[in-house]
This record gives sequence, C-alpha cells and structure tokens, in this order.
Amino acid sequence: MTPLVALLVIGSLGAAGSAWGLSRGERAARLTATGGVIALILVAVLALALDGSPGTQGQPVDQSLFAGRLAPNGYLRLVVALWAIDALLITAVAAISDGLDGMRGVLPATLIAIVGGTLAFAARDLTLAAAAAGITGLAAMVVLAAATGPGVVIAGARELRVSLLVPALLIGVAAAAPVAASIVLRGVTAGADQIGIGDEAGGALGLLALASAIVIAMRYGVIPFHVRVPRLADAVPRLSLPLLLAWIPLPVAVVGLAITDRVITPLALPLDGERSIVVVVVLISLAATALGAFFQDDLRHAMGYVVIADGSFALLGIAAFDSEAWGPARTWLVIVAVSKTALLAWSAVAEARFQTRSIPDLRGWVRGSPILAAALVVTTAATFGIPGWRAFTARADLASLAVDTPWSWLLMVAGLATLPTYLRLLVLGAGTATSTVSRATPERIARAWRPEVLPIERERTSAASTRGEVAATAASEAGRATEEVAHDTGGHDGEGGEPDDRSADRTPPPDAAPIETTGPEGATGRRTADRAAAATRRAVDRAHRLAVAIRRDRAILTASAVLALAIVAALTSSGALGIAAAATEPTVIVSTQSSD
Amino acid sequence: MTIILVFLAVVVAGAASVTVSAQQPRLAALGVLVAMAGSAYIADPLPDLVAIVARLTGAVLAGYLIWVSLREAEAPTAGWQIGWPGAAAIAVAAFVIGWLAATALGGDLATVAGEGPSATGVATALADGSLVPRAGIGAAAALIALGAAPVLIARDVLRLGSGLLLLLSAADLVRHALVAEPDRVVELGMAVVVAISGAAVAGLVHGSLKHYGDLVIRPGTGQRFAIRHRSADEAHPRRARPDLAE
Repeated sequence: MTPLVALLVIGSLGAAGSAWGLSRGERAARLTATGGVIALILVAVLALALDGSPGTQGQPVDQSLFAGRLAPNGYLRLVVALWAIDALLITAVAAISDGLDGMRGVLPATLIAIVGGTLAFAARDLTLAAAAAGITGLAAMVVLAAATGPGVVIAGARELRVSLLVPALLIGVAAAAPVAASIVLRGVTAGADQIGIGDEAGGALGLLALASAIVIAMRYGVIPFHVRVPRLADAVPRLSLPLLLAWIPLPVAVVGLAITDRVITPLALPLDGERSIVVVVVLISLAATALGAFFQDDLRHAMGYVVIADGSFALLGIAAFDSEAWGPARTWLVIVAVSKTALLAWSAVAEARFQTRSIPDLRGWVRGSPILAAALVVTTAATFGIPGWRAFTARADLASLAVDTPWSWLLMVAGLATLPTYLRLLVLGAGTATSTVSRATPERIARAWRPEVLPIERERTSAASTRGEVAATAASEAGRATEEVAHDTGGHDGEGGEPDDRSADRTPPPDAAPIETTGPEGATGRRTADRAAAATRRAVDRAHRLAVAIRRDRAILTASAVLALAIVAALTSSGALGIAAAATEPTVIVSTQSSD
Repeated sequence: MTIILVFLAVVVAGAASVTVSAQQPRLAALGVLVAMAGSAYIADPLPDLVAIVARLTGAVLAGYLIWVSLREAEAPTAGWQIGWPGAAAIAVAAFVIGWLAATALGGDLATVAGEGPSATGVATALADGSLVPRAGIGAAAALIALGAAPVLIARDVLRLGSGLLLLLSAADLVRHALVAEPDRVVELGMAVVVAISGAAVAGLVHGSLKHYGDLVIRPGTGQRFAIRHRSADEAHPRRARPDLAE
C-alpha cells in the first residue's frame, strides 16, 4: 500500500469513525475521538512520506494511483502535512477548551476535508480535481450537522448552495475550456478565414476565466459573495472556523488557478477586459472588507472579513493571465490558510477565555495573556511578512503581474489594509482591562501552595486500607488548602463561568501522588491480582490527575497551541518550509484533453 | 442506441420539470433521482459497465437518502408558482436552445478541424455530428434553466437542494458532451460526488424538519448572536467603587 492510498484510507476511516462515535457520546465518543486524533497524526506522517518529486508530462510517477491519474507531488506533500499539523493543534485546543463536545463535527469534517483536498491536489485530470475540490466544501455540512441553534439551517442552506455550485461550475469550466482553447488553436492554425471563429472562442475563454474567478470568490466569500461568511461564523463552533474559512477554499482555488494556468494562459489571449473586472473586484473587496473588519465590533465577523480580504488577493493569480503567477498564487494560498488558521484560533481562544465576542469588551486582554499576545504578533508578521519573506514576495509578485504600476502599488497598499485591524486588537489589548477581561483566568502559572503530605501508618490498619485513607486524607488536605488560596485570591475561571478548577478540584496534588504503603509487599502476601488492580488504579489515577492538570492549566495550554500555530504560519510565510519551490511545480495533467 | 439516448435526454429534462414544479416533496425527490441517474448515461460512447453501475449506485443512493429524509415532511409544499406547464415550457425552450447551440459548436469544431496541435481529443462525437451530445447539451440547458431559480431564490431547503443537484447534473451532461470519451476513474469520482451531494441535501432537509418542523427557509434566524452595538464598559468598572462596597 502506497503512502497516498494509506493516507486516503486512514483519513476516510478516521472521519467516518469519529463522525459516528462523537455523536453517540460516552465511551464511543472517547474511543473514536482518540482514533480520529491518531488518524490525523498518521495523515501528517504519511503526507511527509509522500514522494514529492514532480512527475513529467505524460508519465506516471511512483506511488501513483489509477494509472497515474492520482499522483503525489511536492505541493500536496507540504500542504497536507501543514493542514494535518494545524488540525492537530486546533483539535487539541478544542479538546482542552470544550472536551469531546468541542471535537464533535470539527474532527470528522477536518479529516474528510483533508481527504478531499488530497484528491484534488493529487489529481492529474482537471475534471477529477474539480470534483474533488468542489466536494471538499461539503465538509462544512458535517460541522453544521453537529451544531445546534437557530441559525444552523439558514447557514446550512447558504453553505450547501456554495458547496454544490462550486463543483458544478468547476466541472463545467474544466470541460468547456479545453474545447474553446482547441477552437482558438485550430483557428489560428487553419488560417485567416477561421480567425473569426477563434475570436469567438477566445471570448468564451475569457468568460470561462471569469467563471473560475467567480468560483474562487464564492468559496472565499469575496464581495459580493460575502454575506455567507458572518452567518456561518454565527452558526458554527468557533474552532471550526479555521477549517471552514481558511482551509476548505484552498483546493478550490488551486484547481481554479490550474484551469486558467493550464488551458487559458498559454494562449496569450488579449483578455484585458476580464483582467480589469477581476482587479476591480479585488480592490473593492480588499477595501470594503478591511473597513468592515476594522469597524466591526463582533470578533468572529471581523476575523471573517480579514480572511475574505486576504483570500480575495488570490484572484490576482487569475487576473495576471501569466504563467509566472502560478507559483506566487499557490504560495499565497497556503500562507493565507496557515496564517488565518492562527488568527481564527486566536479569536476562538480569546472568545472562550474572556467569554465575549465583543471587541470593545476585550480591552486590556494583553495584560493577562502574554502568550496569546505573542501569538497575535507572530500571526500579523506571518500575514504581511517582511521584505524577503515569501508572503511579502508573493503579494508583490501577484500585484505586479496582474497590473502595471502605479496600479500594482495601489494593490499592494490595499493588501495592507487589514493591518489596522490587527493593530486595533493589539492596541486595545494594551489598554485598561474591562471587567470582562479582569475576571478571566490569566495565563501566568500561579500555583497555589500545596501541602507536603507524608504517609502515615495507623495502628491496626491494613496496608490496603492505609493506602486509601492516606490518599483520601491527602486529597482532602490539598483540596482544603487550594480552596483557601483560591478563595483568598478570588480566582474565577472565565471559560464557562464556573468556579476556578483549582478551588473546585479535590484530587490530590501531584507531589502526593504515588503514596507507598508501608511494609514490604511480599510480607503482606498480596496476590498478583491485587498488584494488577493496584497498577490499574494508579494508571487511572494518573490519567485523572493529568486531565485535571490540563483542565486547570487550559488557559496557558490553549494560548501555547495558538502560538504554535502562529509559529507554523511564520515559518511558512518566511519560506523556511520550502513553500516557494513546491508551489512553482508545474501542473502535470496526463489524462484530459487539455494536455495537448 | 442513439435514439434511446436522445429520448433519455428528453426524459431527464421532463424529470427536472417535475422536480421544480411538484408540490409533493417525494415526487420532487423522484424527479431529481431520475434526472441524476439519466444524466449519467447521455454520452457517446457510453461509459463502460463498471462506470454505469457506479453512476447508477451513486444516483440511487443520493435519491434514496433524500427520499428517506422527507419521511416526516408535510405535503404539499409551495412548489413553483408557474406550475408544471410553465416549467415544461421553460424546459422545452431551453432544450431547443441548447440543441441549437450544440449544433453550432459542432459545426465550428468540424470547420476548424485540421492539422493543429489540438486536432484530436476534444468533443469528437459533437464534431462528428452525433445527436447524443446535442441532446445532452439540450438537456443540460433545460436543467440549468429549471434549476437556477430555486437556487437563486430558494424558499425551502428541498427546492434549493433539488435545484443544486439539477445544476450538478447539468455540469455532468456538458462534460459528457465535450469530452472525447468517458473515463472510468472520473465516472467513479462523479458517482461519489453525486452520492455525497445527495447526502448533504438530505442532511439539510432533515435538519430543517428537526429544527422547524417544515422545509421553509427563514432568513434572519441566525443573527441573534452577532454583536451589533458597542458595549459601554463604564457599566462594568474594573474596580468596585469604595462608596458602594459593603
């Protein structure tokens, strides 16, 4: 079994299993959630094990499927690995924040989307790629199926509309574009008497290029298709937004760009009108969504507009009608995915910790959340980059390839229009804390004093009962002590509005954990079964203690996960992961008529 | 075989008319099933046996899931206000337009056929004058004309989903008409796409029935969580005022 097959099978099984089990709850949910996480890890490992060497035109490469119609490549390897790593971190945040409920919907949808995306990136047939990319969007329906609330149906209707229109349009364009291109080529070859037919076909190709741009715009929510995004943000769990807004559009955009790059761009047609339309749409979308994000008070909506703004920049890859735009456009798409994942994860964690979606209510958030603040700073750097970074270069290349100066400078400036939104969040966070922020759990580790508990042997007490009593005593002492400390400090957990776990927890502290009984075990005559039971009890106890510790320290753990996402984004954006080389790989198509 | 396939294209267009105009939800589901299943076979040459079975399985699975999801739906729905005669008229007009457009396209392909680099591999049946791709594009035009309205102005989730499935089938018909010959892997992929799409429509129908008890889309029901106004932080002072402290 090749790594590509294994990846597809494991991803599909993990998705099916977690979708089934997480909806049932209890033991099935725990088991299948664990299985889903293991599947995600395996997907990441298998993605890295894929053969990333690009194949040559018309020749199947190693590890290919279906006579070369599906074949791994460097871009697939990098993107799927990044997707799986990001998904693991998001899943960890969901599990820490909301337990199994947080993973319901998100985990299976992520696995399904990764499988769909893998098929789209691996496909060497445009129709196959279009179908796979388009249908990847239906992963959103899995998230919505697990969600509850009054907006689920209307958001689901909007999402279904986009998710099925996109494959329908892409399949149609993928079928029609080679025919129109063929007519243009034959018209030129046949002579002057056929030029009229070629011109008509050229006009049709322009319309098909616009259709490709519309497909990408619909998926990212570019204006005028933006209404769907805030409604979706309202209806779904906050930690599903990185998948729905940042990752799912990626395969669609890559396939849309591939159709243009492979079929339309080589003809060098005079498509200035189409180019102007796309550039104007991008400019309007950049300006309007940046303004919307800046003045928006709803955190989820603001983040959604930021994603739209960055996603709309990818349309310049089509507007360029230049084969040189292929690499920068695909680079930009990956940078958008990873950087917006970090941003949306930051948003989700901030919303959970401070229990508000109101941006004004987040004033002062930085003071108690230095790691989260660092994550936002790194995310900002990953989004905009610095000269020399791939993010910066890709943005500049797309702008300069799409239009000449001074319009390219205008596009560059418009591309920076979302920067004030990031700065607003940071400046606001440095202000005086609101009561909403003040009562939330800080990130810093302020461990309560824990009493040192020594084993006590009482007279006429067996070793077994001594163990239980000592543990109970330790728990009681530790609980009482932490309760007092928590009471003194007024500790309150913002997530869920429950009392702080440090005060609510009655389990013994780690330093009192492995309490040894007195007397040699051999002397007590304990049987093997007793030892096994004790070992099991200890393991369960340790697991319980770990769960309590994770829940107690979830503020710092979730912030650290967001920082890790931001670092991944920064590494991608800087080019350290080799995104530029992978993105500039040529499209290799072996089985469709467009290859001629 | 050609006559049968042309007739099948007419049946597909008729089924699409039934889908959008039916007031009985299950009749609409039956219509979309016939349209999805039929559109898989209007190709010249026909797909191979494996592909035919896969496409039939995908379409039947999609239709069955929609059928099952409608178990608790109250009949009848609003349907299309122009009724079945209006839908049929639109379908006939679109079918004729599509047929004529395909004929013109086939003529262009035949006219410019030469020694160029793309002389082979594109819409060969259409260029050769076969009636099947013309009927396919005619049926696709009918499906697009009938499916567009429910998609753009959807009033209930079933009509929206049916319209989307008709558009997906239309794309499939166009693909069959314009490729040289059906590819088994692509057909398998399309079978999966159709099945998953049907499942998604069924899921949305089920969700609507579960949440609201009907199929009606209610705009604006998702906006209550959005933050609409700036909150006054002064109402939540950071430190308690000493004069208010007990």
